[in-house]
Amino acid sequence: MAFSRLAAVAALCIYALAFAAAAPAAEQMRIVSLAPSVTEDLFALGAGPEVVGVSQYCDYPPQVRDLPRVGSFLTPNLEAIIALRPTLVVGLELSSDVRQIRALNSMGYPVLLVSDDSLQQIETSIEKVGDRINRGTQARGLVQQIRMQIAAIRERLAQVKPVRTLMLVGHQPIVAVGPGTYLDELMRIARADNIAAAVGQQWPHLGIEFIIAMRPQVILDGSMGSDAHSTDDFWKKYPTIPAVRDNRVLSYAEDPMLHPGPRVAQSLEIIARKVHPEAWPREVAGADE
Amino acid sequence: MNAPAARPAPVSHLTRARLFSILGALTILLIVCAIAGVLFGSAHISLVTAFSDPASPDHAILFAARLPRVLMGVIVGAMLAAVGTALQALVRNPLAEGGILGISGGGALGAILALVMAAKLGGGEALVPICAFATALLSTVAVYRLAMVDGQLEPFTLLLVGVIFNAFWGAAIMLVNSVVNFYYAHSILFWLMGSLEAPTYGEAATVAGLGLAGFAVLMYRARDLNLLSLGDESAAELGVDVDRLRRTIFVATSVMVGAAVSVSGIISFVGLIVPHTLRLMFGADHRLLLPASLIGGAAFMVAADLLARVAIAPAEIPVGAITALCGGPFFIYMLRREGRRPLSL
Repeated sequence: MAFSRLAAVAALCIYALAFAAAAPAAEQMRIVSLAPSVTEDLFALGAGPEVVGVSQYCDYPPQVRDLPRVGSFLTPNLEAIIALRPTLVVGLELSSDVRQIRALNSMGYPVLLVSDDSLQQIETSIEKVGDRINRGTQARGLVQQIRMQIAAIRERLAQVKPVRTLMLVGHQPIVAVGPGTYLDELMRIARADNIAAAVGQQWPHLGIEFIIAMRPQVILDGSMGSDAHSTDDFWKKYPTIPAVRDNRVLSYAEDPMLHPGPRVAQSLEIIARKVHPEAWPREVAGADE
Repeated sequence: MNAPAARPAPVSHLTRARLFSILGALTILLIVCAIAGVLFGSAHISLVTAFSDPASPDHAILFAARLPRVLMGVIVGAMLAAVGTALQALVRNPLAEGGILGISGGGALGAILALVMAAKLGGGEALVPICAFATALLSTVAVYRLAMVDGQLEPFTLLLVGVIFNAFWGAAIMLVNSVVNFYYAHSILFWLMGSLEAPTYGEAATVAGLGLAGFAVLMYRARDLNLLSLGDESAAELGVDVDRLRRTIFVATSVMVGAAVSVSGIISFVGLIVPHTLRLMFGADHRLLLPASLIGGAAFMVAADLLARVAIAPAEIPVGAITALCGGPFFIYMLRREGRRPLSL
């Protein structure tokens, strides 16, 4: 009796163990992400545990730092990707190397490409990724949440006057945020009139005299490779620019600003607070940015 | 490639009148280019406002944006062209220019490393030109040591070592490009293509000082450079200490290229097109050719930079792309117009 009971328990244990081992294996995906924004999408949708490889630039959320790297998204390493036996590779449409994508496809690794040049595309990307990894509901929830955050900021800024703004990603050379980028769209929502809007390139390389002539009231300078101090050194040569004269050359961090993913509303809020601090009146006195 | 030693360079008789009339004409050309460079740009300014109201944007555009930039164009263009002239005579090779010494590549790598390190360690951007100059000179020392054969600076070895160094530095820059964040790509391209963007008067003065010192040395040895075109042995027979001449010119041109690359990156073709065009027009006497290159290089660079600023305004084109795009075809035209006569050095 005792023996058969023991055997039954043992059998149950084995069954349970086998089930526990088999069940996740049935659904668990092995996803390789080729871009920081895609990695963020995946983690925000709760697929973090299924991400097995990321690009060299992925740094958010913090747990991705321990994941294997498969190269940059301009030049992903094919062998490193294959070695991870992915069931899905997700990259960016624009910056992916067509030959590598073709190679991955021909070897039977499914590839999903998304875009992030506008808010609409960022939302579509989240939904496309969500649908592909069986988290469509979460994806739509996340998009809804982003829309609500953006709507809240829109509402807060409803009464403020637009401010002539220049947003830079570097000043040697001077590369600005131009039309057709999600950052240009965020600037518009933040009621920041982009002085580079008429230039007609997504990331125009501008001359300093154009900037002097356009008289921006705020300059958001995210130039890589410079601390706030050296940014001052650069701008103080041009004191007639209103933003320089009024001490409104403001720096921003690359993260999350240049990550067009689920934290896009946060980026919007950073721009809005810098350009229109008056719209956050209670915090102006205490908080020091 | 190497001009046969037996064929003497066609040195037209250099009179004071010829010297002054050619240099005068080139100076007028430079002044026209410089005035155009100051008058035109992506923004339209009123000179009246610029001079009468120091708080106006017109004033800022003229004095803080255009004038330093035109000045820097004058200085960098003059130096690159003069260096090209001297180096072509030095190694007796028409392909010689600042780039072939491996100096500009080293300078660009130093600038890019400083840029990346400044981001990591929080240093200032002011370090970038200093680092560029330092690595350009380090690269020079290395090339110089490696090009020494039996205690003599050997022109072919120098040419080869320089070319290989430049390729090596280019590869190192690409390596840096692939390990750092891709947002640096713009800055890296900036150093590789060259640009005269947003200089300060202080930078212009420093580079001009180094450039003039180097140029004084070149002018002092101009007559010996003429003799060098007869071949090492003939020059030596005529009393030139060839090895010493090579070392002197090498050091002088290195300092000049190092200074130029530290503020403007690698601007190619100027050191090639300007000297050859002027040589085709006025002959190969370095007493005339060196100052003519100095002035002609300045005029060419200011014109190229004006085009870089206005062609797709308000966006800009790297000036190095303009020098190559415009200079290349013009040079080919000059070369073909000369007909069957081979290039003389």
